[in-house]
Amino acid sequence: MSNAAALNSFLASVEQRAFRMARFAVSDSDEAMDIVQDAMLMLARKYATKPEAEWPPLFFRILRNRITDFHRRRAVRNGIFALFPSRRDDDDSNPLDHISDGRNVEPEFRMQINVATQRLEGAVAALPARQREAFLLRAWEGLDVADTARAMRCSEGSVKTHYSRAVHALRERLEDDWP
Amino acid sequence: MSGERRRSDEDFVAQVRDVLNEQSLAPEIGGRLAAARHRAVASVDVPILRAPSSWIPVGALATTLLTVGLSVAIDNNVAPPLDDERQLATVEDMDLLMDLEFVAWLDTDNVDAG
Repeated sequence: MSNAAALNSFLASVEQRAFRMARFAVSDSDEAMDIVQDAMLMLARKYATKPEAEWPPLFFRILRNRITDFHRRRAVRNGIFALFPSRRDDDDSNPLDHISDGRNVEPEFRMQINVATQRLEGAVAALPARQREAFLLRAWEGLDVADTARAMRCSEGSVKTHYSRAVHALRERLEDDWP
Repeated sequence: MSGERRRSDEDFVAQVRDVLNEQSLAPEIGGRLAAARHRAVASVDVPILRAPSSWIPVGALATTLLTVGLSVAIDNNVAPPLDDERQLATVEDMDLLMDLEFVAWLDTDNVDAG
């Protein structure tokens, strides 16, 4: 299989999950689409010649970096707009606090899924970012601990901790739906 | 107990995975993703203009030779030549200064010029 064909096959296998992971993180379909597009292009331009086994952690690391960039830009934008006169004087909250935790998934998307799935998606979106990343990369994407650690730029021990906490939190939140 | 718990966690995770996988994206989003993928894959074949690594020593040698050449050229012209007007002005200034110093000396030491 040629390099381009192999890359196409790899991207086709991850693009939908990557999009949904990005949407969990940014709560906006258009932004999630831009993030995934950027990640695909970056992988193709810079890392296509790397061994195929390295693509998954590289791709999800790029995706994660793009999501982080998005939150940084949004925090800066919120900070700049907060300087305008319309800002309430008693509003001294930190712009970083306004970063979405993913719970505000778009209504039209909500209409398409059933209640149990809604609860699951809400619970996943409500996880702290690192826990959500570890959980989705391990449980959904199927990366092993080492590749997840590479994608998240952290130690394997941290991955195990985040993953374990995520599973625990999800079980607690979903115990009524999924005993 | 721990084994049961782990088994239970694995079942739970498998259940979550199944539910997440059941969800399919809208066709419009799938189409946009596919288009983005094709653009990305097409960009692999676009050659990126960059200096081949074998050119690096050649470039370094050329830079060194240029630097040495410029240094030699500068050393051979220690003082940059002045144009004529500036040269004349400098000489006239020196004469004027000497005259002024002489007058000042006469004044302070009360020398009898006669």
